[in-house]
Amino acid sequence: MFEPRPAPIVPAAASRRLVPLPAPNALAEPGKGALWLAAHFPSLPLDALLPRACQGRAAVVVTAPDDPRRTVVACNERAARQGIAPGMGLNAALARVPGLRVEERRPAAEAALLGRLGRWALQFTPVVSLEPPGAVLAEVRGSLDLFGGATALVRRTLAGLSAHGLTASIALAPMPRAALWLARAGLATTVTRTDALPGLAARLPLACLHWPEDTVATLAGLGIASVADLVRLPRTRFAARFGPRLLDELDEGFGRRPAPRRRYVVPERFDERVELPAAAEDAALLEPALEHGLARLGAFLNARASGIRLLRVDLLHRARAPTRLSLALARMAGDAAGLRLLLRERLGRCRLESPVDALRLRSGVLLPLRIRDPELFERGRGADPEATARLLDLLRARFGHDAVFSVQPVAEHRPERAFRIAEPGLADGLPVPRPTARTARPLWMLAEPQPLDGWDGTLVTGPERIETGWWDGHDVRRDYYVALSRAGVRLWIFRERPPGQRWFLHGVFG
Amino acid sequence: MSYAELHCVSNFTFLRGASHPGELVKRARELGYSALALTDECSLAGVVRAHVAAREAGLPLVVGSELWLADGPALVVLAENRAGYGALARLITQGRRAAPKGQYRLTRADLDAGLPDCLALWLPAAEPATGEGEWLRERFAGRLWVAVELTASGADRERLERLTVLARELGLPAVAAGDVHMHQRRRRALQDLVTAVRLGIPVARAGAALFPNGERCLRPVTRLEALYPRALLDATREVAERCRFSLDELRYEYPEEIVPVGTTPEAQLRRLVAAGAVRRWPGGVPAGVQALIERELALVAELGYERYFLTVHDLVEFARGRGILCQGRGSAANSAACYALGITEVDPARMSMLFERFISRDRNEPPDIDVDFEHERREEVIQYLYAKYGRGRAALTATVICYRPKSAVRDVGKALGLDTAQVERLAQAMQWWDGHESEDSRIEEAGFDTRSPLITRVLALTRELVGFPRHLSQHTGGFVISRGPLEELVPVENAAMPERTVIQWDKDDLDELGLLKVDVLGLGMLTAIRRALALVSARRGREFRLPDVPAEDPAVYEMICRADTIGVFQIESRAQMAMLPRLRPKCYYDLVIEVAIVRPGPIQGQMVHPYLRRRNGEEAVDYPGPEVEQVLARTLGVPIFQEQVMQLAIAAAGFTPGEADALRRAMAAWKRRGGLEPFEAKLKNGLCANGYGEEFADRIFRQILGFGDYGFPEAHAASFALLVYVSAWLKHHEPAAFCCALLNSQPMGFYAPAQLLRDAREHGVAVLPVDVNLSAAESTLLPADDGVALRLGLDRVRGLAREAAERIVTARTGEVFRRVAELARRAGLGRRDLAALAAAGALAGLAGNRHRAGWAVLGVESALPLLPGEEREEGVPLLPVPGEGEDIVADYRTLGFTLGRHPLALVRPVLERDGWVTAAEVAQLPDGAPVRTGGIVVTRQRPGSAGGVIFVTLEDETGYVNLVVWSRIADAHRRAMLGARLLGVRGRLQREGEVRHVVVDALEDRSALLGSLTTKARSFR
Repeated sequence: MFEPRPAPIVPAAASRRLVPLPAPNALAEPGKGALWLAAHFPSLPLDALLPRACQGRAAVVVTAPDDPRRTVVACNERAARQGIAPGMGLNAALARVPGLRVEERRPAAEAALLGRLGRWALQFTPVVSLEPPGAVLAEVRGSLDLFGGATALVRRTLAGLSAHGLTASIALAPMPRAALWLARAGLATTVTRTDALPGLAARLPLACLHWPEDTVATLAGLGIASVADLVRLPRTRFAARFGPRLLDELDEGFGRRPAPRRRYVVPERFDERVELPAAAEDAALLEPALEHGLARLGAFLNARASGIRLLRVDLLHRARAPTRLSLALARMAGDAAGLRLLLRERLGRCRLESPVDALRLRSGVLLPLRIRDPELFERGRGADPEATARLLDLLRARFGHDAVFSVQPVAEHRPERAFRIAEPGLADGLPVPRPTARTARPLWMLAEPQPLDGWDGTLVTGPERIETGWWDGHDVRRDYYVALSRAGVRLWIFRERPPGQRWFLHGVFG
Repeated sequence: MSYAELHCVSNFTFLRGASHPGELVKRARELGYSALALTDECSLAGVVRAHVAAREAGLPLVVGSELWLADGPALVVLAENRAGYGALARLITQGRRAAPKGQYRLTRADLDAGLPDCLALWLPAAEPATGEGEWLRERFAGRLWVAVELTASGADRERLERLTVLARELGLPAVAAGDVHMHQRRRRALQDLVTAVRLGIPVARAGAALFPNGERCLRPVTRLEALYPRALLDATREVAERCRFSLDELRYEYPEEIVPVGTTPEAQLRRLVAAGAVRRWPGGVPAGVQALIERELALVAELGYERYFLTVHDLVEFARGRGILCQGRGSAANSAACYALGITEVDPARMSMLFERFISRDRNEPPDIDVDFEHERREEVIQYLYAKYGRGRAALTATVICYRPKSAVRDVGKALGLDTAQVERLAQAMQWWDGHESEDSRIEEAGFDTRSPLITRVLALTRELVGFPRHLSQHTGGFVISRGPLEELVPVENAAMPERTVIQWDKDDLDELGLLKVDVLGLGMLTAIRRALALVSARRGREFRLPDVPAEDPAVYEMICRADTIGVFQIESRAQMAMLPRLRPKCYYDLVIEVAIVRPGPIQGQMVHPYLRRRNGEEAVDYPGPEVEQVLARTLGVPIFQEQVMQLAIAAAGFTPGEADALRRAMAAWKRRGGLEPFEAKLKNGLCANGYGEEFADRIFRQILGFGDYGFPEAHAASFALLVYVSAWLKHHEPAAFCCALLNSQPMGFYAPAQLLRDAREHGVAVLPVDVNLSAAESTLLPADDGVALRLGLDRVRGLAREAAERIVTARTGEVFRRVAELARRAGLGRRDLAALAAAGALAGLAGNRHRAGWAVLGVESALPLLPGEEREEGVPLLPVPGEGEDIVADYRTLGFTLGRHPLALVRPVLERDGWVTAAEVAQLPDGAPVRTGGIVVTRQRPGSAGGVIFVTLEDETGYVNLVVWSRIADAHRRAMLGARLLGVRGRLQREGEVRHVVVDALEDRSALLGSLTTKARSFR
């Protein structure tokens, strides 16, 4: 019964532990002789939030906001040097490094970064697969010759990542899952033969499997510390205790079961170039080409039932950098109709510095187009929101983005802070705060209160005492009055409370 | 011209009021108000404090409350007289009981019948609803005013006109009021802050919820005169003068049923004491004791306290009938009468104290008896009280939970917009913060700039907020029992626990008003002693009770002098252990002193060393004067007990007993409220006038400050010392029973099971592991070759449900378990219970080592087979055999201790290479020797009295090492200090006789070494 060293797992009929399976390599994706490169990014949650260059000299950790224990999921080197490690509770980490900078994990940012890494990996091979939360797989057998062998490829990959401020642990193996295990275990190795893996199993800790925490804890309680310990267990009874899925994973890792990966495909955007028949020196001459491009965009969006909120139009010149126009839309556009009007408006105000040879139309991210049901949603509404949005886009296209805004009341006692400039239409459907004051406020407020020297008008009502704002360093202490100037203008004035006591004009009633 | 403020909330209107009741009273007095009404929202929680302050300031206080009816209107109700106060308290109770803890709900229906003997101020809304006024007018005919509250809103004139017209139309008088939320305008920021905290949003976003200005403070009368017509101001005084009620009128009346029909309280008490005395002194009551009893009974009769003694006696009798161990302590407990009544076990013959010291003839205040019960059975006593007096007449007193630095900075930080992580960081930095500027360095270390305006604001507001009441909670055991309905005495509200209620006053409030309370406290040591006595009885085959413990056994005192006191009541702490070899207690009264001397009072008053020197004959026992000699003779001229300080104040500083009592109360409260300054001057002047030196006066005053932290009276020490002796006797003569009883009474005391077991084994007790076939639910004693052995109970297994343990024991009757699956079936155990047993090694007899047991447990079908006896037998797979290190680590994880070797024994070779010496070797080093050692951290303590020193106790395979870490060193090694499980130390040995500790120069965290225990060479079987 005593086995001093882990025995390799060989598919032999003699062993009752194994269910006979087809020969390992025959099913491995994507074809015979596959070799997978796994890159594991241990500090991805941190890198996604805060590029290394921005971390400065601070010790930084990332925690998950929904985790009651606030476990550290990643930390930078500086934090690690001071004794912090992923898996530690935040309180323990703070006890070690009181000045610790704590960031909250952002899964969306992590997914985006992983996506960027996936796109970057496509330069080495067309077969790339994302392995959230923190790894990327790439099938590189076909690329080895191109890049001068596995070692050169790894070196090149690491150098490329390092240039982006990222560190990764990279391993290669014929089975994608095995490559992942090796990478997560930090074994920077290349395994080219399926039967070489069992020899490494003793160096693969349970953690590299990414199994549920309680499963790993249970296994640890049985004295099982590595994958080698694990594969020594009887198959059926392992499956009975831990479920068949985990057994499947083990089989995948050891190449006894195929493990197809989902291929990573770069998300679609519209990006097309429209050549002009002849170089155009007048913007008006661009219209037919624009029309053509927009029609293609419309068809593109239509086919995908999608819309966009961003369109970039580059006017390409022969000998100089393109003129770039960018349209941000108040409403999602699903066809070319609305865009045409706006673009025409923009082009109309555009002076061409140099003849245009071609146009390039690039969309932003595609957004799923909501199917509108006018019966349900638009009955009884006075203004057509589409029309409002179109008007807004038009006004902005003409007067500039910042010239069109709305004024909103703010719940605040200090008069100069009781309103704010807002994006028009943003408040749609949001509750508008109730004005705080019960007394009259002038419509015209001075940007800055003006000192009134030698004031000799009449006080009509007041005082309204405003004493507040200490929390942002702009504490005001004033007694406001409605007053009549000698010219009979109704003014809103205040006197500073002691020790100031000076009079100021703050507004004029219309 | 004068003004009475009739609408004023304090910080007992939680998160609205921004001033303490005392601050409001003081300020009203300074401004020359003729009266102040405290009208907290549906609460009387702050009125006693206001009452005390008003009595001192000589300002008439009106008691009232602000009420917002759920269906309108809002009003202020003021009590005209005792009946009105009772009605108001009842109404508040009604509103509070109808809502979850901390809230209230009152509707028009609750007030439909009006509120007799109360005046009402209507608080009209911005748009006054005439209907509300009419509705109130019907219920408060001739007792209703329209409150006109002008707060510089800009429309004050319109408001005044409108309300004047409204009042005229309704035929009601109008009165001025201030809607006061703070005593001074500069509390404006704090008021905004608590508002934001209440709403759970940052101040900057609180907007309209904040008041636009600071007018809701107590304003100077001249300013009010400028705002209000004279008639409205005059009306305030008229209203105030109609309210003649004072809290002084509340007189406690004891329950009736405690005295059987047909007898008087005096006769009943006399009869019970006489019967008890015969039981205590079967050979006849000694003449001296009989005379003492007579004197005590005469005093009790004179003051009319019979019912109080009978109430406590009744409680103790109940406990005794149920076999619940209990013991009284406190001012009246240690009397001959209480000894006869069985309230205490302290034999008056053993004590030199006189009962009259504890009840003062001069102060009209009931005696104070706390009764400790076994902690696990206290609930039975509480339920008895509820059953006997009914919930309408018995209730737990409140504890006012106040803001502490950490909670304050959390709320302030959040309200000022710091994010969660920053707030946590700041709170961590505040861990040991006591509000002084000097601690700013720690805040800076945490990465905050203390000069930045934001942090300055956070810290300033935190300082103001600390000490503000936050909510009412239940006192652990302070009971108030009334004759009439309690809710006419004080409002009762819902506690957090369902079916529990709590009154709106805390112990100090009851004390101030002289109301009766009985403290029903839980004491773990009583539980342990009862268990130990039962084990001893079982072993000896005859009943062994508390009085059967032989008194004054010299062997027990020898053990105590060696500081061999782990597990012994009170004297097991680090500081107590350090004192024992120096004080060398030889008799019961020495234990009384021992219990009281290791306290902040004597330590801060620098009384410890003089006492020890005099005791060891190194210093002459002399007295600065004859008055002092009389008070301090029994403690060799050094004041040690709280009572002695008060007696000194009377005898040597010219205090009246009443003043001395006020001093005692101020002592208990000064940390929270301050207010000792007037006493300081009076005490020092009095002492100096009687010819005592300044240095002596200074020492006495410092001691008073110390007592504020934890006043320890001789009366309590006397009762505790008895339990010290009994537990020490049990430890010495019955170590197995003692250890077993302590284990079964956990959690309690100073040490964890690991230390208790280790100590028992060092004293020769054989300890047997937890075994699913051999262990009972609790730890037990069983006969062994050389006496008894201790078998650990199933309750030691972490994660095993109590019910599961009991099912195992029941199912096992008659037939042991042979297989894991069979165990699971017969005892009905789930996977979780089985896993806990396996991990703890309790299945060793069934399935082998932990790993194999774990595997077997996982194989148990969750759906149990239909037919018993069908358990399939499986082969055992190849699993690594747990190494010794792994077993030790698993023991600690699953049991909290190991019966194997100490973990440090395994890593000793590494430590030796690093030059560490063992605890045993440290004990042999001379004073001043450099030390390099380390061990597992057992305790970390930062006593308030020790001036920034942290005490750490380390443990290794040979014993304990005590560390003294100065705060400078602790700060420099903060990480190791707070985080290390295995701590390495460099320092110097300091020894004074038997007392040794290492004064630390440097610390290092070596916890990683413990991790290596689990990664040793492995074998498979």
